[in-house]
Amino acid sequence: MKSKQRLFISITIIVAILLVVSCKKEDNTHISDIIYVRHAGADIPAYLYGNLENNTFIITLHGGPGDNGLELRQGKAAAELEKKFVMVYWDQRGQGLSEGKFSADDVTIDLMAEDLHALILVLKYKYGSNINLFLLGHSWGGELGTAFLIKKNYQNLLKGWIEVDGAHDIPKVNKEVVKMITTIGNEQITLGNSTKKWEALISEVSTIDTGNISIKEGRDLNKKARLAQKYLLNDGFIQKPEAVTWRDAGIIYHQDFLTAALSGSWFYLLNNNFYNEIETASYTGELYKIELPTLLLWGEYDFIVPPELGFSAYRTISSSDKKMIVFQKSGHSPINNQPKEFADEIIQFVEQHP
Amino acid sequence: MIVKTAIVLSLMLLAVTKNFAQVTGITERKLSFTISYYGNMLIKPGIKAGADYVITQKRCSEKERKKAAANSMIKQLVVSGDVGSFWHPHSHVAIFNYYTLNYRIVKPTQQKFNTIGLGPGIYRSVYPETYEVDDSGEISPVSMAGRFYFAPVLVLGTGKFMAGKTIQSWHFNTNIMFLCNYNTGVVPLLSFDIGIAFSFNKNKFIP
Repeated sequence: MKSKQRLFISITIIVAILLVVSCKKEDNTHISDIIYVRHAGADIPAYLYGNLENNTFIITLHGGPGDNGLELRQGKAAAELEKKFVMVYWDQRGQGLSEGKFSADDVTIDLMAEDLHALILVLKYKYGSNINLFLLGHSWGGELGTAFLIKKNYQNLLKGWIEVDGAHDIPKVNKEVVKMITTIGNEQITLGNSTKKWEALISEVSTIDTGNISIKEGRDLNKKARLAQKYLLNDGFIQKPEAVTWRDAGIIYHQDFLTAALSGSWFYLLNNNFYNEIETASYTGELYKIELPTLLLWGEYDFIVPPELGFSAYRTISSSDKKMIVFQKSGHSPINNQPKEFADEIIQFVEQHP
Repeated sequence: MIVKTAIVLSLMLLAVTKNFAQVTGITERKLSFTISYYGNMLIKPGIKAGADYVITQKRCSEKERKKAAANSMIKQLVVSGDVGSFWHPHSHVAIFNYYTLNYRIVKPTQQKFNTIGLGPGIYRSVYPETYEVDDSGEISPVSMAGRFYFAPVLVLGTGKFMAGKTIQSWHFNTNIMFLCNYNTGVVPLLSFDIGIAFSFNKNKFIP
């Protein structure tokens, strides 16, 4: 009797294992890889998720500095893009889960552009030299991406450049923030929206000499820009980001918010030379060097990096293949405010440049 | 920098140990072993094993004991050595080893104890697939890539005794490991461990 029971249990286990194995879908086109790139004293992770079928990779450059690569993976837009392409979420030197040992004095935008070059070399080494590479930079990532594109002949390694609310000229950003707070603030006062708050904000920026904005004033302006966006979000001009999903929770789990936040913040804020370089960098005069197909994506109500930065880049970039899209219900992060429209524009752009 | 920090920490540990020993004179000693779930940020899973050795302990004086009434206390100085590992999903694995000198207050009537410990440690991260790119653009795969860090640790813990059994106590510790020379500075790593202590010695742990 016992031997029959054992036989029955054994068969049940074997059948269960076979069922599990047979149910597992064979899928060689979707990847979920992590690669560390060791370069100039830093070990920088890149997280790759998505569809390998089209042989197309989009390297993302996160904002901050001080954020991390996987932040751009949250939300519906990234999920849509991963269905079509391989998204490469790059932590950048000193941020996210990047490790290393290097002197703060050695960190420059140029070194970080070289890190990005190293990543591209590794991607081509691992996935083949014929892969299609696109670069997407958001906010500070737009500054870093621009610095990379105007250096040597690096843009020849890419198929296209997608700048999302990119801060490629901080002095210009600061001037435009003052202008935008004044203009849109007055419009909102006329409409009777958050009147007292806008009046206070306009009054504060009216004392700033836009011809001579210091780094400290620039930092304060960034805080005011966030406030302005908050007012517009509350008054329904900016679309609220969707609630956090289980997928997002999983992505947050993969991050290390304490270590990453402290590492990234200290790296940025305690490194005065680097901080000053970022806050004074102005690439508008060199944008003509970009000859790559370019897609510029901006939020209509982006006070942090106003849309004028995008329009100015559109006018200056040498490429004849360029497009500027302004999302009408977005602030600094259209990827969160209008994820579907955001993903659709990128899919269209990438598919037009196989 | 690392050497200086190590020397300062060692001197501090030595000073505390010496001072404590002068006050007590009690020589009862006890070895126990610990095993814990070790979670970086609680949810990045890992495991830790170690040994605790009570190097000296003292009871409150009679006068103090009257004051404390039923809550008489035993103060212990414990040295611990721990080794462990945790897994950062979709990223890296970490291995660590640290030694702490712990000051432990035991409340026998409540069978509870609280601990604070400090000591030197070492931490090693191990990455998955890694490629090194040199200045000329040459790429070479690196196997078992990762980095070593000098990692002093601060432990704050609490626990409860289960006297008379092989499993002597359970504990909940908060560990802050300071990874030195991490990128351009020092970065704290917050972890929690929940585990048990056991001993093969039949003697009652609390005399």
